[in-house]
Order: sequence, then structure tokens, then C-alpha cells
Amino acid sequence: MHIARLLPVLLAGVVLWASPALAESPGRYMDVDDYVASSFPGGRPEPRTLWLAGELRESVEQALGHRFAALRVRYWYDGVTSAWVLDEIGKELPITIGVTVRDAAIVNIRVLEFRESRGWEVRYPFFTDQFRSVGMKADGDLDRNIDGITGATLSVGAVKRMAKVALLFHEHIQHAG
Amino acid sequence: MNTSSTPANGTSRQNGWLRRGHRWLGIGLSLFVLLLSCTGIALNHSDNWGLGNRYVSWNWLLDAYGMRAPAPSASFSDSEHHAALLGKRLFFDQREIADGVDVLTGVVVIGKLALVTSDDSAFVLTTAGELVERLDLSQQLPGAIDRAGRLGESAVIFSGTASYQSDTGLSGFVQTNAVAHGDVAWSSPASLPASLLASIQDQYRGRGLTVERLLSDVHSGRIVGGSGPLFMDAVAFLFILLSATGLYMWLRSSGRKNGNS
Repeated sequence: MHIARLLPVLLAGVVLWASPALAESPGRYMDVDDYVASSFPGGRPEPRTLWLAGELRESVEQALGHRFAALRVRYWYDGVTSAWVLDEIGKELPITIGVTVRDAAIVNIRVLEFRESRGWEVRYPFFTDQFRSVGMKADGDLDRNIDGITGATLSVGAVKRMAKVALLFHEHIQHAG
Repeated sequence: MNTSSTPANGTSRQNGWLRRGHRWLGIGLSLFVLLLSCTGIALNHSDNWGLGNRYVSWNWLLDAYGMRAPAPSASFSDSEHHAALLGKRLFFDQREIADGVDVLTGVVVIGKLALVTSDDSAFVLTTAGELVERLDLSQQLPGAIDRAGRLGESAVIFSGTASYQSDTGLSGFVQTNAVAHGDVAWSSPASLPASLLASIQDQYRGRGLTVERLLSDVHSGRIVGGSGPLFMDAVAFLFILLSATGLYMWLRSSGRKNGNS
């Protein structure tokens, strides 16, 4: 077959292959207010703050593998369900992630804002749905294997770390009463 | 009919210069093979090795890159504490506290806490510079934060035509009509002390060039300037030529052996 006849086909193939990348871009996918509202269909509780110190900070930093940047964290809690909005660096910039926890297990995870040019695939349900009903083992790891995404290793790692941190926070506030 | 296994003289000369050319091309390109292989392996594992979070601190290289810290686009001070924005990097005293900040609008010190405001966020810090919390106010406010100030033991921010007052712990802001503009000690721009400016500019440079970027520039040839990539394209063409000559010689050699067997 003459190469000239193949050219349009090849060009169309390249455009189709590249189109998902061209269509997607970093950005804010969901507002914090909307996420919190979705976590508490019966009415949104007032925000509270949790100060990180002592054993809690140690556990969190062990889960993260680095220092937790802030001294306090904002959260919403109705006595049963807690919702957390956390930032974690993927490669260079923070990813804002919402995590809702109930009965020591994750109810849902949403990527609220993604700022980097690669790795945004973690926002999709095919990835975040894996975290439903995931809890934490005694050794501090998640109790289920989470499949990664090729080319988004750092973003996947960031989401997994935030899942662990949210579970630790939830456990802490439940014990604190 | 020539039944000898020795090729005719013309072909022998051709093979001779081909072999010599291939040999000298290989020797000449070996350095580039090493360079591209080593940088390529490192770039392949950049994420795992954290090369994007490791920074080059060689002053001569930073100078060559033209990495100079900009002058602060804004700086404020309160109670002997200072906030400054260099590029998009926000500093409180000697400490870098955030990246990706577009505008600095004020700093307010209340007791042991400090509030540094950008256009859409308020950074609550200890006076030692530790981040307490970053308050994202973009959804709460009608527009950008215009200014920040102190009213008694609380902070006040002004956005558009509305004022928002914090609690004493700086844990949040609530819109208020009870604040008289004139009663607030508004944060105003102030120059940084020379020593502090020099210190944060050094920090700015020291986190400007990552190892990953350096390796990528070496790998692509950009390290030597605009013509570097073109030069590496030429090297790549020579690699292709090396492969082609090697393959050609091998095929000819295989063909001769098959012919003789």
C-alpha cells in the first residue's frame, strides 16, 4: 500500500491516541463544600479542628514517610462519619483529596483538585472505587491491595497515603470521643 | 567464473572503508552512548530515586543557568516578623512556607500566631514559622483577599466590600458588618531587612534546579544551549548510521558464509 494512502489513517490514529491526553487537564474537579455536603446527606456538621501532636503525629508521619506539614487539620464529624480534606504532594505539587470514613473503613475518596500535568488518572472512579470499605491493618498498611496506574505512580502513592492518614485520624477522634 | 571465496578487489575496498568507518564511528560515539545510557537510566527511575526533589547547589552551575532569585514582588511586616513573595514562593521570616502563591496581601501577628494572606488563602503559622493550617478561602469569599489586618485579638480580612473576622485561634473567618474600617490595624507593605532578603534569595536559588532537570538537559543537549538538541539529533543520526553499517556488514558476511557453505 502506498505510504500516501496510509498517512491519513496514521494521522487519525495519532489524534485518537492523543485525544484523552489533550482533553484532560489538571484542575479543580469538586469544591470542598460540595464534597463535605455529599458526605453528610442528612446535614453537614460544623467543622472542627484536630491538633496533631504526640503519638498521633508519629503515626501519621510514619504512614506518610515524611513530616506532616500542618499542626492542625480541619474535619467534619457527626459522631459516626468523618470527612477529611487533605493535601499531599504527588510529584511536585499538592493533590487535594477528600476522604470519608465510617466504621473504621473508607466510604469514599475523591480527588478534589489536581495541579500537576501528569497522573490525573487517579481522579477516576476506576481507581478511587478501589478504596471503598478499605480499612487499616494492625501494621498500619491498608487491608486491601490497591492496583496502581502506569504513569501515575506518585499520584497513586499520594492517594494511598492520604487514605491511611484519614483512617488514623478517624480512629483518633473516635477514641477521643 | 570466480569460484574463490575472496571477494573481488572493488568490493574488498568498499568493505575496508565501511569497516574502518564503522569502527571509528563506534569509537567516536562511545562517549555519547555512555552519557545517554547513564542519564537515560537515571531519568527512567527519577520518581523512585526522588530526583525531582533533590536540588543542585553548585553556585557556578546555578549561575550558568541564570538562576537568580527575583526581587520580592511583595513584602509585609508586623511585630518584627516579615512575609515576602519571591516569584511564587512565599516566605515567612527565614522560612519558605508555600509554593504556587500568586499574590501576597498581608501579614498579621496575633500573640503566638501569625496570619499571612495571599489572594485566596490564609496561612496560619506559629511565630516560629511552623504552618498551623492553610485556610482555603476561595469558596467563602466573594473575590480575592484585598488586605488583612488586626483588630484586638482577632484578624480581619477585607474582600471586595465585605469584612471577615477570625476567632482568636485563627481557625476560621466569618463575615461581619460590625468592624469599622478605621479601627483595624491594616497590614501595609514594608521592605525586608537586607540580611533577611539575602538569606531567602539564597534559599530560592538553592531550590531552583532539580537533579532531574539537570539530567534531562544533559540527556537532550539543552545543557549547552539552543543548538544542543540539534547536536544531539546529529549524534542520534550517527547512531542510526552505526546501526545501519553494522547490520549491512553482518548481512553481507552472513550472505557470503551461506554462499560458501
